[in-house]
Amino acid sequence: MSAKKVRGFFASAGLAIHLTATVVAGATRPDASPKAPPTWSSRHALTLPKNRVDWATTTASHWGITNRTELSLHPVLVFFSPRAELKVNWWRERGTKGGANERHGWALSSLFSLAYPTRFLSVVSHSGSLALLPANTHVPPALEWGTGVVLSRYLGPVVTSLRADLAFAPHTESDVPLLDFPFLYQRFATFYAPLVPRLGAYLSAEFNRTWGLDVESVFSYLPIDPNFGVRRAYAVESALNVRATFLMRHRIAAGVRVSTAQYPVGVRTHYLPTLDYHFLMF
Amino acid sequence: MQFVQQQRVSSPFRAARSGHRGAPPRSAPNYVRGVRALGVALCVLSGWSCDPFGVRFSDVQSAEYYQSTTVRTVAVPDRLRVMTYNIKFGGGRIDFFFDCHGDEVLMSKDQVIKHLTGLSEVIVDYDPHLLFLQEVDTNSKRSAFVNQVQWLLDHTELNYAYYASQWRADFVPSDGIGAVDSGNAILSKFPLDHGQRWALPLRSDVGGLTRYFYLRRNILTADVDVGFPLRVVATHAEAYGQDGTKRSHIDLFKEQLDAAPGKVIGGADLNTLPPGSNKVSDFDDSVCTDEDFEADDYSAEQTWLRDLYDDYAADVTLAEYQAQQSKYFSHTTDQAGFWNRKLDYLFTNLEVVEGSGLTHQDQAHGGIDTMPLSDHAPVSMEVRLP
Repeated sequence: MSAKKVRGFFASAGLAIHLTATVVAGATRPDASPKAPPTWSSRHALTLPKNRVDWATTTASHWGITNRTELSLHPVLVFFSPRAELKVNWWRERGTKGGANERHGWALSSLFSLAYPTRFLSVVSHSGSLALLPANTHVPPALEWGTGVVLSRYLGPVVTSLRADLAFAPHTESDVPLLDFPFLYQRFATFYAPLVPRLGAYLSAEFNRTWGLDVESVFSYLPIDPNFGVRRAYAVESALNVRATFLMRHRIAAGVRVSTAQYPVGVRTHYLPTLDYHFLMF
Repeated sequence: MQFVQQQRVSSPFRAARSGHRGAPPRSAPNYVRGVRALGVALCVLSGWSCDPFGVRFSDVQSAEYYQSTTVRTVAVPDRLRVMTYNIKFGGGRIDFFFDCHGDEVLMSKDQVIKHLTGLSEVIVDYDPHLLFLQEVDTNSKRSAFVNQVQWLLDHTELNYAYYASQWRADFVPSDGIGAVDSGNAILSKFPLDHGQRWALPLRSDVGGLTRYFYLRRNILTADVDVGFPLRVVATHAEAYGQDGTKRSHIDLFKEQLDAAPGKVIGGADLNTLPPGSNKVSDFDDSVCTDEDFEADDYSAEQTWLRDLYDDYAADVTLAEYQAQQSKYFSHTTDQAGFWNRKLDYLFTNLEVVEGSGLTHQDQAHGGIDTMPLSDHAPVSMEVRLP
């Protein structure tokens, strides 16, 4: 079976699983009290309740394994860019145990992520349109390990967080050209740098039961090998998302991502409009 | 907390206003207003994003100015040596994918410097006062981000330059090309001024996405200070397409020569053959099969340069060329073959020194074997200054 057919099979299978799960979820979801809005996944320290799943379409989906452990991955894109992240909540003040939007206090969680960048780098190495790397690129196996902490302050409908991460992806010597495509550049920098530290700030606000806002800004230091033509590279990626929640368990988020980064060609800023649909199961 | 406070204040205000009117509020529901606001925001964002990879240029804009790190003062001579050279972005004879001879896309810095060193030896050997360059990279991934205009200024006797990009993108998402900035340049021993980039028409026979990332060809003009106003004009005309774009590029190049206020010299890769060429199609080195990118058949173009030859002196007269064509061939994509067509030209309304026109093909013609350095050979001539 050709690589193209295998990719097509996994894409179809992933989509089928995604759709099936969505339908099952719709049939089995528990009644939600209109007085207590359910907890959604977030960039902040607290995790989803046990067994709850926050399905997303363009971003990663989240699953509450226990009340303090949350796993996130994208059910379809995982076949093209395998990546999973585990969030474990270690500490939370008593005031953070209330319902969503009623929490007050501090919480601290750790993060551990595992990714396989080789897969995506190989997928985008071909000839013709949408080839981000040359067809004659040979990508060695590499596992990306990431670890970090997130400290959050809950102030009722407003939450702020600081997050610090370190990521590295050891692999054998390679001549893979630098993937300097905007937004992917900072995400795959671990393949070209010994260690990538990141520092992020996040803010979420609920205006009412329908409308909310998420703002984030992440600074990444990218100590990429100077042989790629860039020294002391960095990236600052910020996002602004307005979200609307309807029927308690459906959510649409729209916004923009802005990335300013030091590339080999110089500092460039790029914009990316974003749109996502979430559905909350259980 | 600011959001919450505003909410608490505004809601009673709305209620009071409704009560005063004695009717429920008629304004659109929250979600409708929110969707409208999102729509406006997306429109603004799409406006920002209409050129997300920074590929576009103005119709007319200033060219980029360069200067050698060591400027050497040169007296204006009686005769000016002029050269035009398509240097293939310092790619030498690597078999790139677009030539259909191989699959290479990117070079290492060592490879680029090696090729530039070879090119600079040819330039230093002829020692031109004016040099027209085509396909010179200033900030491209394929040439390891070496600024070739600056490098050549620093490794030849040339002092000043203007550069006009004809292909610029933060990222070309095709074949792994990535970031690119490549174009035309005019290098000079004498001070240059008023460098201008004039946009040429785009190909109309390719799809929208291809067109967005496609080459934006241009004419580069500047004035050289040689004791009187001397205009210099450079271009690299369209190579592919049957939509008339190449013809319009050649005509606009001539219009720029005609528009010069006094004396003028033009140097160009016009991607077409001189009138009276014996072979006009089915070249042995053309192996590409994609008809959108074939440059193999010039049979419909045999008169396109007639007006240029009629109105201007050239590096070689038509009579000389037609008598001994192979001596003036300046291009082949096959490094194992030999130059098989003339695409590179110099035109002027100054007096060309008789017999000075030279296509630097090999040791017998120019003193250096230029075949390993580019898919074009440099063309030179001497002109008499008044």
